Amino acid sequence: MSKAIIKASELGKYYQVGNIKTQVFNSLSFAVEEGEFVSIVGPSGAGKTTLLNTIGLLEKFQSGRLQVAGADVATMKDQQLSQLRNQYIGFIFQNFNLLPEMTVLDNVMLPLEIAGVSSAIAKEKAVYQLERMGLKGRMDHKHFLLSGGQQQRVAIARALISEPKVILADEPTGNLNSQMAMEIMKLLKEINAEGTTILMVTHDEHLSQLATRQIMLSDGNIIESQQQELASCG
Amino acid sequence: MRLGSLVNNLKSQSLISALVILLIATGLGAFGTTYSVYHVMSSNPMSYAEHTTRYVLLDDWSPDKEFDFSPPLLSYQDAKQLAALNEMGKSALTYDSKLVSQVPDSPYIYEFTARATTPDFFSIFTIPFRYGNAWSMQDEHDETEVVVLSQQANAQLFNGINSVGKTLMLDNRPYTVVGVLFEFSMTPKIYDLHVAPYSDIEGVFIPFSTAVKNSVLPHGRLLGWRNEPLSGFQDVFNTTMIWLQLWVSFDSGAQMQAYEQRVAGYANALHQSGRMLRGQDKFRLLTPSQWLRENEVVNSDSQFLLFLAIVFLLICLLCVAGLLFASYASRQHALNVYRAIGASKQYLIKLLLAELSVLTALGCLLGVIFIAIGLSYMELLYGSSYAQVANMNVVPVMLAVATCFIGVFLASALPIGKCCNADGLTVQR
Repeated sequence: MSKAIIKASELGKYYQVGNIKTQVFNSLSFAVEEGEFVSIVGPSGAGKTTLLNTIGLLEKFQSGRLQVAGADVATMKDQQLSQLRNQYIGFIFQNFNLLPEMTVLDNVMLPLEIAGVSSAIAKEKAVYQLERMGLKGRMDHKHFLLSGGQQQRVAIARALISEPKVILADEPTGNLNSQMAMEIMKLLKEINAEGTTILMVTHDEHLSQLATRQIMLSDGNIIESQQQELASCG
Repeated sequence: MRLGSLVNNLKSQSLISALVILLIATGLGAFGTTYSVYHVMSSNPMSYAEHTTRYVLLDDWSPDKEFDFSPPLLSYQDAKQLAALNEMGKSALTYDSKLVSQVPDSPYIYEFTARATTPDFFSIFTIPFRYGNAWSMQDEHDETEVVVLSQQANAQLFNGINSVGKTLMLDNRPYTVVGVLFEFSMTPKIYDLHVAPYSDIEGVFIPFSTAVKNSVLPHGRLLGWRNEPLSGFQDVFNTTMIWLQLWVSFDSGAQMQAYEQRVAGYANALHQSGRMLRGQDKFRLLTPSQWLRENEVVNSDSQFLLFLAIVFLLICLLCVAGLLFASYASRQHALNVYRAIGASKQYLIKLLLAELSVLTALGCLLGVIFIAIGLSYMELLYGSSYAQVANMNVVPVMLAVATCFIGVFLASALPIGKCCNADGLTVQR
């Protein structure tokens, strides 16, 4: 029996600006098992990205409990949260978020550099990931010289270099055409097949069908969480 | 974190990085130049002798308000008597002059600044000898024509060889060289504060008694308030006109106390005889630092300039802080990406501090060049007499650099703190 890698219990979060309090989600409870591919869907403003950032330990929550890789994150200090994020979580963003001052190789090496891994080992691992993404020949380029699909593959290589347990993908195909989007989805499926848990926020109904489970959010509440048949990536 | 990453980050903000470097360099250049000059001016070259050496003063000046100042020198008779009272310690009776110098049979004639003094002068001011020694007390007593040369004078007159025993004509009188000094400087020249406190040391040194015998005229001040007619320099010796310095040094506090009592006795006797009209207690034994303060070696202009330079440095640092705010604000997104891939706040602070260290180091390097240019310009502006002051000294420059480093890091505390503690460290999708 697989165990939960992410477990949220009555998770609540709001933003407060002055006297105005905006509840993003209230009392969310769910669990994600190791090796799952979960899509989070819902209308715009439903709190999908905020939920992903909260799970990714980038945003704080005000109530409830959140466990990531068995650790209760509510009481953890910034240093511990950052370490957890660095070692267990990989992020993939819609607009790739690669750093323009760095080469493709440097971008991919960055998480290991932050973790204090030696340059030689970081480079070896980065080259391996880029080779896997079919980008070994572009590693000395600046990312803006690459196509959108290639840039997203660089971002995936960066997310994978620390060999994380969980990949959090926020609209990973949002900036790509349909062909490239399917390529990226295929890649994510492969990564998932290797045992990495994936949580993906998407508003694309078709792409969400590719996940093994779908969590539907509306007004900060889970209105549906269903297991689904595996669909093919084209 | 790798140096390559740091350089990449700085290159991505090349304009701001260049401005930060330039601001640091300009601030340091102005502050360092002014502070360097101030440091040299305000230094006490005799600090090691603060407890053992004294400058002797008697106030035999007029009680009238129009003469409202403390006489800084001694008359010949008083100076001789006060020097003689120091039986156990050392005494340096001294005045400055100028002497025309010529090596016999040489066509070259030089005019050197000269100092007439007693032999203890060299040990009181710890002036080192390269060849030979100071003249003896016997030479002083016998009014012998002997001379000690500075290294520069020896180089000019004798091509730098050991000239001890050679003859030198000074104002057409033959003197025998008994010593040659090592290269030596004293800034400020504490025994010459009235004439040229920042000049090189004198070229020639001759016995005080010989100078008096040969009527070597003082180049400095000759002051008096009583109506004492003079028909020639020899008349000065019997007047109360002041023109001599007396420095005394002691081996122990007891010696100093004993000397002070003798000086008090001498002052009392003068008062009884109708001199020292301002009071018999108007005598002073000043420490070197008191003598420097008395002469206002660091004048108010220098202090004000230093104040302005500090204000300018602060303005530069404020501008640096402003640029850092702008820089970090424009990089907030990139820094959020760092956070997303596992960088802690501590890591970001280290990263930004490392970047700032590189900028500050480059700024300080350029600033030191600016200091060198500033000091050279000051020497050009004020002439060679300012050379000692406008010299690039390691201590004040390093202190200025350290001040600048600390200033930059204090100025960066708010921008870095605000940037790394920004709420909502979320990354744009």
